[in-house]
Amino acid sequence: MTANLAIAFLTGAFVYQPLVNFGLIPTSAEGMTRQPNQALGYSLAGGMMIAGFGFSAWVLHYLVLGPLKILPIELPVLLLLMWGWHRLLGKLFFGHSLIESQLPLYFLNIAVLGSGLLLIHYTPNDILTALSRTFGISLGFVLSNLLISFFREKAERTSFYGRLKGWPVFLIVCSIFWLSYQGISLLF
Amino acid sequence: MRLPSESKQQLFIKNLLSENGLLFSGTGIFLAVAGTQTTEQAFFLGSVCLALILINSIASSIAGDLFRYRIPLWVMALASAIILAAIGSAFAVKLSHLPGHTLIIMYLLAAGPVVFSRARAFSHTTSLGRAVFDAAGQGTGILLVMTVIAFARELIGRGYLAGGKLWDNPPWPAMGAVCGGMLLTFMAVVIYRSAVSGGRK
Repeated sequence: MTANLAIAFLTGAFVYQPLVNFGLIPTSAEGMTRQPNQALGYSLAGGMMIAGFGFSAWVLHYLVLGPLKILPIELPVLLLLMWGWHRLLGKLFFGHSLIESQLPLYFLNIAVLGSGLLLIHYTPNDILTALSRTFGISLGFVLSNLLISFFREKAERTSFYGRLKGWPVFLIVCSIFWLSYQGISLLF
Repeated sequence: MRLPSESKQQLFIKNLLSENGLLFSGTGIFLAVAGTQTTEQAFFLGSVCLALILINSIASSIAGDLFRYRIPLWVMALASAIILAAIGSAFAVKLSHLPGHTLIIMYLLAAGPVVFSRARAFSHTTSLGRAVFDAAGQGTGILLVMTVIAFARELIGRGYLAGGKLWDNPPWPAMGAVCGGMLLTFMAVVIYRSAVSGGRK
């Protein structure tokens, strides 16, 4: 049981990580990973949103919408759920500038919705596995963002060819991370 | 930048080429990276994206022009989600034949700024005709870039050309994976920047 939960957590962090492994890159990620300190607030806010939204989306899908046979309306319901989580985190972290200043970016966020949908489609087993994997995905998102920002800071500080700045260097760093994550995922 | 003196055709061409939404500002970059495994997938997702950009821009322009009202972002997102859920149900068979994750990627359009950016930034302050040409240029530009990237990925990564198998051993199989989407999008952005800066000299 413990081994299953541990594997669910690790696969969440390294296999079902939406930013690198599925290429579900939000436009905001490029701007927010230019400096590590900026990336920290962005990653923490995103990680919390992923954890809260991802798990509640799974519960909603398997315990509410599925049994009631109303899955065709799942997407609008998930968007309302995301809006609810955004408001909740905004209230919880009111005054904490590191998190609060990043939250408008998550008002509509591909990585957060993508994490919830990936969790729903790839974790049908049980509630504990889903919870464990949600935390894994959340941690994977935080780690990826921070690592990408450290690499980008080094890369863009040097005399870099102008046309590669911004999106191109972000995509190159992400592709290197994809290769390393694929290597790690062979362990599971 | 959009000038009032620009004609509808100029707006269309500008969004299609020199200020292509995907290559110029990176909106919808996840479509180019994750939604270009096959040309069929790219065309399907690009078409859905084009349709949503047009619908949002038309609605935003009508609301702004006739009622002097700006549609809130969440109303647009919710309306887009309902449209996407309907498309998902209507094209369920088609989606099952496309590569994995296509449904997830399509659903993500409801949370992507790519389908709202023109409606929020431009359409609500302009006439319906200009909004339609602007949105059509933006959507077609994204569809075009996605199709080109998917064509290259399919050829190099899977050895397919126009649906037929060209090579049994494709030259670079990694291009068929997500990594290929990132690398080819990288190349597309660099080529675009070189072409644009070359044209301005």
